[in-house]
Amino acid sequence: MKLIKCYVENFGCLHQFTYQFEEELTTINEMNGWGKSTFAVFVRSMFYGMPKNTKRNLDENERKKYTPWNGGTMGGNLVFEVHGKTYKMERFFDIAEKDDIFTLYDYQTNLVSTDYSSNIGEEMFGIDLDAYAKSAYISQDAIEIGTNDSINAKLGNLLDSDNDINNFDTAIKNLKEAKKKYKMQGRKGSIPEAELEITKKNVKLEKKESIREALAERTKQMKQIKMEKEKINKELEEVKEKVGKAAKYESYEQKKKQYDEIVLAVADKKQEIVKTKEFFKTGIPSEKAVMGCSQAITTLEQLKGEQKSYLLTDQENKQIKLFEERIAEGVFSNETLDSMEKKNRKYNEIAIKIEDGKLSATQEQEKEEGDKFFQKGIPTDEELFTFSSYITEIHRQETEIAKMEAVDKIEVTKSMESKKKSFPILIVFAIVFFCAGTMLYIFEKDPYAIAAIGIGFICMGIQTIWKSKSTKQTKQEDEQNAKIEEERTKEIECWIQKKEELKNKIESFLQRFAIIGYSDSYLEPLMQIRDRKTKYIALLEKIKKVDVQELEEDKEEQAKSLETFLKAMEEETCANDLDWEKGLQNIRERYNQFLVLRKRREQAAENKVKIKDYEERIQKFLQGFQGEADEDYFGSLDRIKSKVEEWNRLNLEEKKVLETKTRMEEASDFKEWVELKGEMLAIETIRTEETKLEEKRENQNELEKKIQDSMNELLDKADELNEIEQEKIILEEQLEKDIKKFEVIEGTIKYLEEAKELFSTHYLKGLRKSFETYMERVGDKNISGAKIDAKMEVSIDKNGAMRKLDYFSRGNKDLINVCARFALVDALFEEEKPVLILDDTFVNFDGEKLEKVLELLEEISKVYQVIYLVCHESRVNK
Amino acid sequence: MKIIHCADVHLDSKLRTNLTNEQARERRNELLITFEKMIAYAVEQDVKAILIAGDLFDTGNVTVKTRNAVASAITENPRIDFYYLFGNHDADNFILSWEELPKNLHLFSEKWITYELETFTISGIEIGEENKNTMYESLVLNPEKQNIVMLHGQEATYQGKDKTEIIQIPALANKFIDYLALGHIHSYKIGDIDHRGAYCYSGCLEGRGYDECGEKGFVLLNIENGSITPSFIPFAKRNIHEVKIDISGLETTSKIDQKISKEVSLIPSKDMLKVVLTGKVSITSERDLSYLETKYKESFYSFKIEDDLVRLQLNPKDYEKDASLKGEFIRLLMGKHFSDEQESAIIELGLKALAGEEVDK
Repeated sequence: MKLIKCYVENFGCLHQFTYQFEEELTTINEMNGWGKSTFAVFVRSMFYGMPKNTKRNLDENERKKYTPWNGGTMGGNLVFEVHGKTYKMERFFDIAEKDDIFTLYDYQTNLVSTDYSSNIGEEMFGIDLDAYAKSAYISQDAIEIGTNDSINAKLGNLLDSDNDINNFDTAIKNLKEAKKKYKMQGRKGSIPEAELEITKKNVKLEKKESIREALAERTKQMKQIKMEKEKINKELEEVKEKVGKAAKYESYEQKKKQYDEIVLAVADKKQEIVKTKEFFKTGIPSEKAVMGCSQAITTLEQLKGEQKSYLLTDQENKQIKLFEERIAEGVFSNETLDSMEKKNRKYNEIAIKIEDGKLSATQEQEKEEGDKFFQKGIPTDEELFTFSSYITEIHRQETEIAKMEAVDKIEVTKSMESKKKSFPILIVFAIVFFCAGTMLYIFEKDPYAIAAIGIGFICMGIQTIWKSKSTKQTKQEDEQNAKIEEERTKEIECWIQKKEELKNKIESFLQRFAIIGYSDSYLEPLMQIRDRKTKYIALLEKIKKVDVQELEEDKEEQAKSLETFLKAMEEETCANDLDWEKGLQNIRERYNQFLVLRKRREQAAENKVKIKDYEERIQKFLQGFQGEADEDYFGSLDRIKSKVEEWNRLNLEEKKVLETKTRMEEASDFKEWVELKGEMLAIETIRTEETKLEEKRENQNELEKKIQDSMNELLDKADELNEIEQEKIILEEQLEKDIKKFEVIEGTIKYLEEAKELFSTHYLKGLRKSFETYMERVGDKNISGAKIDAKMEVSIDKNGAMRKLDYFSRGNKDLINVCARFALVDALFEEEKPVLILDDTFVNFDGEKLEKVLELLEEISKVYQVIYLVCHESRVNK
Repeated sequence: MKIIHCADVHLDSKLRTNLTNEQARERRNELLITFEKMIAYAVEQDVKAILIAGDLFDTGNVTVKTRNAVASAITENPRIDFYYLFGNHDADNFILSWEELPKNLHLFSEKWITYELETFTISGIEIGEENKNTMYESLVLNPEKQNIVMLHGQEATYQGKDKTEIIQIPALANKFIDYLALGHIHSYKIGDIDHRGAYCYSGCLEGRGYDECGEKGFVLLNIENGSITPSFIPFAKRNIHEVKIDISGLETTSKIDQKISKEVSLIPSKDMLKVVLTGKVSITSERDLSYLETKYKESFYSFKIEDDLVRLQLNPKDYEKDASLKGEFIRLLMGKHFSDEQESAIIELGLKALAGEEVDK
């Protein structure tokens, strides 16, 4: 491939710059700032583009660095020839890589060519940008030889589809990363950590043996304790047996003692009984006798108490004396008193009668009025009835008259208009109700009488109304009716006459009583007369009943008797006040009192006899006991009672002790203990021994507990250690696995690298040869022995060791690297030769080296088109 | 007459390996329940005695609940005689907790103790440092009776170095032992002592980890007509299975999954299962164990899968002329004298790394 010419529109400081390349060596010797490096980058960028970069550092961000300051389009074109064909490629760069523009033209036809894409550098040279920078592009600040996958792949001449070599770095990196997990610097990684953990666990497990021994020791101790406890239990059993025997002996001793005491007690009791019996001179009284005496004493005391209450005062005696005298005189007796009381009642009755016989003021006035009203005589009931019937008759007559007149009218009306039938039943009702009502009112004063009368009037009214609606009479009936009417008229006149007669009679009767203002209805005045008569008669009756004078006389008589009696009985005050009632009442009370007092006196006498009798009986009873014949009967009795109790108690006690004695004598072991002899070890001593043994056992229990607790603690620790051991085993297993894996990874890394080295050796052969050739041309003895390894690193065999280039001077280093670069390019580009760009590469060379390398460059330019950029004449080949 | 021979119950074992805390707790309870069920079985079958040949408990620090449950099982069944021989895990703590041992609990010690029954005897000794050599000579049995002997330890069919808990079976020959009831090995195993007697490990009642696969239970001894006939009674609530599956030729996780599914289809879901993949696979094969574990752990009480035995199928001739880095790598390793396992692992890892796959699973 050969560059022909280029045009730079804008690229860094280059603006509209055109350049024509030499076929072999193009030397651009310009001053600093001309744009030599810029030009070199331009050429490279035309083939490889400018990778996207966001770094701020300009040295790291070429896109930013070479962006034209004038704001113009960054880019240009490059005409080149490859495989006998000439192309022109244009490339313009934008801010972002994606916006860059690339166009390839067939230079002959000026038509766009698709022979290469924008990745023309890689397509053409077979290496990536990085590889190009490490090979054909040699700048003064990046002169060292290096390699990458792209270079290796090219060197290895592998097919594109085989990614092994390309992935080698990544594979090694991943393996190393994986290896770090197991082991890395600073004791990190699962292996050292597991080892550390296992070590820690081993440290902990060192205690296991001691714990096991301690456990064994505790177990031994526990067993000993158990044995000791067994022994103690056995001894305790023996001691308990002894205790049993001692207790038995003790109980026998107790029994014997008790028996002896019982025997003594029996004797004592007998003695006491004898002594007690002396108190009872006439024998032991029965409970009944004692009770009897007690009751007698109680009764006596009661009688004495009553006796006190029976005593009469002087006043009371005087009272008795009065009545007795009066009785003896015959003035007073119960019957007399009764009689006086009767007289008093009679007196009172008379007074009431007298009072009843008197009329009140109102009654007096009524009587006067009655006298006046009935001055012409009081009508009899018959008279009243007669006149009442008259009234009834009058009404009947009026009814008849009305009836007749009605009929008459009806007949008339019939002849004139129509006839209306009368409804005779209404008239009957009217009469019945009216008469009945009247009778009822006059004689019974029944309020319903008014209603009956009213109904009578109503019936009459209806009849009248009914009558008013008369029926038509026929012509024939008219004549008849006229006749009848005439007869009727006569009859009516007759009735009227009769009526008048009755009316006269009634009025004549009524005149006797000065009743005025009555209407044609005579009923009312008649009723008035009747009422007044009833009242008047009642007043008269009242006066008639009582004969006051006689009564007064009788009353006086009673009063006299009463007065005499009261005075005789010393009730002058009441007598004077005529208060017979009160006087008699007083006497009655006093008499009752007299009776009571007299009774008391009698009872006192009776009591006295009884008292005497009781005293004799009690005395007689008390004499039967020693020293008890005094008058403190209750005290004596108490003493007797207590003696009796004592006697009973003693007898009971004697009985009990005799029973106890008998029981003891009947006991099966009586003979054993009754003659008990010898001595037994005190039970207390044995019990003390028992207590000691129990204490000892308790101590053993406590010790056992402590040891058990200690064992439990040890067992917990043992358990813990077991767990640690288990964990350790798991860790060890895992460690073994990890170590295996680690070894596998290590082995894999080692052998992959070895394989790569071997692999590289094949394709590095040519490179090494080429390098040696170049070194022979330009090197000196100082740097002879330089070698390139599979990693593309150069070292020099000096003093028996391979020394890194860093040990050497810059100039020597650069020279070696230049040779290595040339060798690399030879190895990489066996067929299509790229353009070599050297950007002031020899700046650090001394004169000798420079001369040699310039000569070499001249030779190389016969093979490769070389663009040599330099800023000083001294470094240009003359 | 019937007797039960059991051992290695390991009550109160922690059981945290391969199980969650909750499962571990559940399994601890299941151990105790199985023990109690065994007692119930004994009652039902009119068993006269139960021989516990060691390791009834897993630790000296027995929980109160377990202690009480075992004590209750003994005291509430006075018709059954319990013959309890201590194992290496047992401690005196349980026995020392009794104020007075129940009459139906019979213990042993570091000296031979023989319990004489009607027609047979039960003897036992707790092997320790002091008696491990002398115990064989000091065992004296009545040849007229049927003799049952109890021991706890590892059987050795050779006269090896002196080591605690080693039971030298040949040394017990011709001692008139009819049945040697052993404990310590957690799987049922029976063999002959001599022409007369047999030794038997009853195994444990419940497996506790993937190293205790297979059926677990106890041995029922039928003593009749002068002979003792043992029969193994599987009794565990859950069995533990280890299934080896050859995945040779199965290049993908999916195909491996299909084979696993087929091979484990008969295993009950209440059991614990460990699948061990074996065989040879090509370098291009893939298998995702975490996927398989996730898939199958729901189907069983506990599930584990390993592929440590899987090897890569490598033919050196295939890589003789492989000019790639991979080829170089494989050739390099095949030239080294690694074990199959290591070679396989490194190659597999290297290829995974070069392929850009996750290298640390």
